[in-house]
Amino acid sequence: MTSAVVYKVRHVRRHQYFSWAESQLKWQGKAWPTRRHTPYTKTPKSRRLHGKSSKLERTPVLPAGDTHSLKQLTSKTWHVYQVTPLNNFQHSAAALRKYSRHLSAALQAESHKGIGVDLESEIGDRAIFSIYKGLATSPDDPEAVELTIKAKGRSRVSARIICNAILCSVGSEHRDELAERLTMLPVLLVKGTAAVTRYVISWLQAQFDCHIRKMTFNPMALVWMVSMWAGISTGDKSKTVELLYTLPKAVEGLSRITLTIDATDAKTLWDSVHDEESVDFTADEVTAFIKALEAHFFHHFKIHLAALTLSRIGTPIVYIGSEGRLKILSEKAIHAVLQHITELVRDNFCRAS
Amino acid sequence: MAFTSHSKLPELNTATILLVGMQGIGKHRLAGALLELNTSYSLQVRTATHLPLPAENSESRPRIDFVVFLLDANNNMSISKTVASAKELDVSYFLGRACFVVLNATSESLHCTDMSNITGLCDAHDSPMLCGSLQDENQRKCLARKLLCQTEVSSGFKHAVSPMLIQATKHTYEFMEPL
Repeated sequence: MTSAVVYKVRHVRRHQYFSWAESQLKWQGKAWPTRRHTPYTKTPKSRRLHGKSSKLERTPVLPAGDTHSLKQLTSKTWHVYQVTPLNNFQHSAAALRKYSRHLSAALQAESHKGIGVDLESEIGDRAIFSIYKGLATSPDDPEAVELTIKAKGRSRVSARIICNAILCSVGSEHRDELAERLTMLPVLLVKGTAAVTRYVISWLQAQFDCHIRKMTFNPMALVWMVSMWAGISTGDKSKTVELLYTLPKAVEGLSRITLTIDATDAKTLWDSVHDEESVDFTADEVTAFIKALEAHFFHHFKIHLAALTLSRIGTPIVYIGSEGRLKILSEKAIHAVLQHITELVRDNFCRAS
Repeated sequence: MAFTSHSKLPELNTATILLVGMQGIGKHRLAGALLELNTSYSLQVRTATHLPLPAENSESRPRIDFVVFLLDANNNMSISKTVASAKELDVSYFLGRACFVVLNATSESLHCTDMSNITGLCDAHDSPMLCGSLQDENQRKCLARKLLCQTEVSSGFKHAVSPMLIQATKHTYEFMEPL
């Protein structure tokens, strides 16, 4: 009697979760049921594509003559860090002046400590916090903040910039309410020497009670990005789509394989994979795109790229390395790229909490 | 003809494990660790890169008591191959005679797929998932011991405990919210 009932219940449950899982995720044409208790969250089934008719809430308004300021983001290699919400951060001019003063004082004190000991690790003596306009796209985004650190060389009269950092949040939708005093600027781009970067990060952590960690992109994230952006051509013939695979250590004599595809070819493949009407790029499309490339490569070289580790990608608009290095090539793509990174960081936070 | 868990008679005082995993994943290292363990019966380890096993030599092959699927979370190909191989295994093995071993589950910065895909794979086959590493000897030994524990049950060396019993006690037969 009992066993009959039990059987029925199990039967119903299976049926329910299979149909549910089917709607939840598809992987290689197969739907898996999901476990309830795992520390992992899954990547969304599709991601927004910036471009044609993106869900960009408002186009950033740039004051006239300020267009060059966004340009300084491009064609430079940035290190990407993820930042937890900043406590007690204010955007007012007075507050920014105060932060500049504090950090300058801290830097001067620090550099006096190391005088004559370590000449290489110069950490500068003047910090300037300023609002970086034109990055925030959604009404929920706080304005981006730029931090410049200048150093007066021993012999030189004019100060030179030794570190540049930008704290930003692009196109984030507030899924959960933040407390009053917290400011969400989850992406930190840094360009500077190791010593000054380390010092500035530790200062920010102490000052705003946040945690800053190097952002890494796993092969899954890289595959997503290369598939999403491979089809966005900038019209420049010299820009190619590039995938850099590293080989396991056991393989001797060969450390990496670079697969370079002409931008126009990549665009043709991308168009055949991606549904033109859709503003989203789905997981299935990602799989199809990357499978096609791997099949092509295997046809010519008899190497299974799927068995290797993807460690860097290049598209006409951006270069991204797994260890958190970023180089944006096109000014138009800045928002798309930073929005995607903002989303990834927020996913990471959900994972951790 | 695919092999099943009951198509052959067991040999006396012998347990046979089949390790299935792509080339270079470390099947032989794990096999070495398994064989180093002291057992009161003779332990055989067989390896295969994928299922189904070839038809030739199928006569001389001993009965397989336990099947271990090795997959690497950092390697897309090993995952897709495991998915394909698991489909080929006879369903009688998924009643407590098979398990999945996930390598590199902790190095999330190198993951090629969502962990939910891997846990989903194990759940769909209703088989246990072990996470482990083959890098250093202690971890190998630890993993080998866990596998041996399950093998002993499935080959009948644990008195009065059958794989079906383990399988049956895995679930709490209660009303649960749908997954």
